[in-house]
Amino acid sequence: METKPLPVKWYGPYSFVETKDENVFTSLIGEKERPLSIYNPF
Amino acid sequence: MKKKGLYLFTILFEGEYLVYYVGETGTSFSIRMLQHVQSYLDGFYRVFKPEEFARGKKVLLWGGMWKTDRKEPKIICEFLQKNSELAPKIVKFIEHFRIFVAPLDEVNRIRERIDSEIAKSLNLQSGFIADFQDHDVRYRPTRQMNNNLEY
Repeated sequence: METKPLPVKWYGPYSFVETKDENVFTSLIGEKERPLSIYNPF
Repeated sequence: MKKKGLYLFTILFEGEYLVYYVGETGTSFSIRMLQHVQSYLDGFYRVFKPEEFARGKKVLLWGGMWKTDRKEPKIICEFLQKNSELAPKIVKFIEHFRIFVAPLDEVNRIRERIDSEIAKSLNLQSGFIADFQDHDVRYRPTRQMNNNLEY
């Protein structure tokens, strides 16, 4: 069975601790899109 | 952040992001993040010493109260007794998290499976990447026998 990759796109980084431009509670998805370098193998 | 999906708790480590926790939510990122913060602040989650944690080392500060052997009243009393000392350190600890979110409108089971596979991949790494995970977090992986037939 062929499976299609899911269109998963990561956004962030956000922070629990609020600053004006970095806030996980109020920021809108898509507001902050940055190049992502992350420690995982896939 | 009304969207649901996958999320990562990471720290900024040597110019890259080191993953501590992989999560998923079927409610909304905003609600789930508030739940996480509450669970850190009320002692339910385990907490590591913030300075060491920021350097990729996990030195336990508070053991949390979600494990079976930590649900006794004496543990809550211990948390209350140590609260003035612990509270500022817990805030410092959660300050270090850098959070990534991936909105995903799939059904819950698909989200859980992806969540579980990401965590598994991280746990299978050697050295500090795997060591930085909490190995007693329960995920719901894909069932082995019916990979294509059911979730």
